Amino acid sequence: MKSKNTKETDKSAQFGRSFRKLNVFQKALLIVFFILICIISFPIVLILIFGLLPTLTILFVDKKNYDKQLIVGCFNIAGVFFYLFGLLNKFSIGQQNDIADNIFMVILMLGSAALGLVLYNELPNFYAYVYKLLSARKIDKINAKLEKLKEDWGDEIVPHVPSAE
Amino acid sequence: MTVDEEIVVNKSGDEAQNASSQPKLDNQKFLLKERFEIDFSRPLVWLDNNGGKAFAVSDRIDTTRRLFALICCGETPPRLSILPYLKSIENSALMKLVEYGIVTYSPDNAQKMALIYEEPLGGKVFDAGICSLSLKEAPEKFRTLALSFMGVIDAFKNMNITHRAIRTDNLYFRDVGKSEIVIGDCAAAFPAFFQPPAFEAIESLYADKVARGNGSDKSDIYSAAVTLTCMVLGHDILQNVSAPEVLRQKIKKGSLALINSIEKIPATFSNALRGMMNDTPSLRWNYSQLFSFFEGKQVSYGPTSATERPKRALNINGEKVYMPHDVVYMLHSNIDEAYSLILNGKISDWAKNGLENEALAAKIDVIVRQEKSAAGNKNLTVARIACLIDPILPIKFKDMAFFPDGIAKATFMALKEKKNLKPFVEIFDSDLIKLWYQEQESLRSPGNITEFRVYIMRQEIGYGIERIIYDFDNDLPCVSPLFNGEIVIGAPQVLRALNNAFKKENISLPPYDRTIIAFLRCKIGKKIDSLISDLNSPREENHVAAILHLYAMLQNKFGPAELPNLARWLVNFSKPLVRIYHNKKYQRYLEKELLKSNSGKLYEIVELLENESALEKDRTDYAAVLNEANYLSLEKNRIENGGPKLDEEARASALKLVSVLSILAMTASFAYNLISWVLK
Repeated sequence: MKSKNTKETDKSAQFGRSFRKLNVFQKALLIVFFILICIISFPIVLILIFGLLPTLTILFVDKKNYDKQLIVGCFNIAGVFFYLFGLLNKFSIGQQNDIADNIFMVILMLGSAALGLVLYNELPNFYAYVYKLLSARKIDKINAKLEKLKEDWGDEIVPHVPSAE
Repeated sequence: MTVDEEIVVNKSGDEAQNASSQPKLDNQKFLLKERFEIDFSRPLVWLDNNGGKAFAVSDRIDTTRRLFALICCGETPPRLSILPYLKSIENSALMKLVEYGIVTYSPDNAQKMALIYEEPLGGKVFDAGICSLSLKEAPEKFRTLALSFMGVIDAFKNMNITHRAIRTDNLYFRDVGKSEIVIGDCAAAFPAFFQPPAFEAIESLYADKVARGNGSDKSDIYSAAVTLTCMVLGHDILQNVSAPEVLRQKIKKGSLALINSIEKIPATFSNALRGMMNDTPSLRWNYSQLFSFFEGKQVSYGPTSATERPKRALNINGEKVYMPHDVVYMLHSNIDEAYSLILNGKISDWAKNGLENEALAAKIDVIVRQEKSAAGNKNLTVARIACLIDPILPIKFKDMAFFPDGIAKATFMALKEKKNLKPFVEIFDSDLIKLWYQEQESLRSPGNITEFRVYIMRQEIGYGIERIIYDFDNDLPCVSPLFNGEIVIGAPQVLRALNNAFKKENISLPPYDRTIIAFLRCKIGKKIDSLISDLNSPREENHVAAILHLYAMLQNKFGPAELPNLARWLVNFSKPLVRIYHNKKYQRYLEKELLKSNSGKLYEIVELLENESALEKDRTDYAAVLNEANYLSLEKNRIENGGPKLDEEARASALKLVSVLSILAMTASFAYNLISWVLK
């Protein structure tokens, strides 16, 4: 995880260094291009900003928890996709208001993020619980086997076992 | 006695044991060798002898024959080694031993040795110490009798054995007419054990009763001479005088002079008796010398004590002593003074100047030098010096006086009576016996004498004092407490005795002890040395295996074919051997099979317990199971001890799973919506 973080940091630093290498004109051109895109696809940007609010919140609040960011983000995006593609068919400035007004759509976008968050929080606990149950059953089986061996070969068979330590 | 001869003894004993296992006729009768019916309800008290009890016997084949059984139930065991020889001797002056064997003696229901003799019909020669035959007026009869006694002694000598029980109360008239006299039993007790002091020569009298040893024909000649003297005098002599007093007087006066001082022996007889009763054993007349004398020929009596007497005396305890045996007697009576005399060199001076024996003085000097260089043992030093001064006398050490061929019997009795064995250990650990034999002119030491020290040093089973006893003396029966009082005279009887002992009561002890193993080692030989090594191993299962092999071998060799009680005993004892198998199921199977094996065949137990293929399979399986158990326990340990780490792993896995799931959900959503968008 640590190495991954370092990798990410390296990438942003590289981006920063690449951006700094550009001259003023190039930088201005890039910013103008970016603003132009935002204006052209304003409804999409707006939906994205609104729909991805849970993910953006986690990105700001829990910067280092990449798993959480990934899981919530992916589920969030999955929910956003439903409306993003709907927007493509009737692309207009006012369309974003319809979508934002549709409470069902809002629940779907934010609910998918919530589902991701629930899965992130509860699945590992559930998984660990199941794993414990399986381990206990495995120990019971081993104990039964050892008992059988003791019965057939005597108690001295167990002291021969070296300690795990 | 040779090994073959010993086997003869064993076989006889074995047959006797077979007889003992036959059904008894009734409580009062016992049938020996399917022929001789011993009637315990008809005691013949007048024939009781050498500690044995006499009972009437009827011969089923020759019913006219008058026989009696002498049951050896005295303090000492019988002289087993001479029985086959005694049975073979045919001499008109010796009571005929017809048969012998082990019987169940009904008065105390114990196994005893029975000696079947021809019954003397004329009664005892001496009754209450008075002779019923007067020789005083019959020199011819004296001559016949003396030669017949010497004939018996010669017959014994030819077989390399001795009688050692020639005395007045052991003489009987063979016939009703009282014309023939026979000498009675000599095998029911240790040699010379019941001899009154008057009938024993100085050297024999000097030894303890149990340790007089077999002696030589010279000892028998002396006893015969005293017996003849009593017959001449018409009564017993020195009856009420204690043994030490008789010894003291015999040393002081000489045997013949002592008797003459009590009652004058007629001149007609005294010359012959003087030759036979010489206090120097080598000078005692033998048969041919006596015969020559009776033929009127000149026979030398040897030097008299007056001519032999050393010029210088030794002063011990304020008394002047001249003769070697006097000196030895005084040395032993005053140990402290004797020790200082030895260290002062006075004994050596006396040997040099008094006895004029430079060689003896040199030997004494060697011992004195050894004694001065190392802190010695006072008793041992005096005993060694005494052996050098008068080698004819027995060895005297502390309170014991013994002839080397009697030491085993003395040790046996001490062991039987649970006396202190330390002095015996000291003797065997010293060179006393070897030294005594070195000083003898006509005796050679037994080959195994050098082994004594080795046996004493080794405290393991099969060695120690028990081994010496049985290695050195063929007369002695095995007297293990495990035999429950049963007499065991050879290797074949050991298994039967153990079988009978376990039949009477369930014994929790192992079916062997030091005595039995030492006895068997001496009777069987080197063949069982490897088994003895196993018996001394620290591993219990080796003891069991060794005993099973030993007893199975004995059963195969000597029988009997079935020993059910001993087999049960061995089964109880075999548990450590069952446990060498690791598999518990197989152990239970073996235990069941052992309990089922009631055939009494010991080799079946051995075969069951020592199955090579089963043992190999058990070993292989055990190794595999051990590996499996190791793996399982390691796995268990890993699971049990890796709790938090495994939890973390589980969580990490779960997160990975959710991550994948989220990406899948995103991809699926993208794909679904893209397809929907395209279709619209």
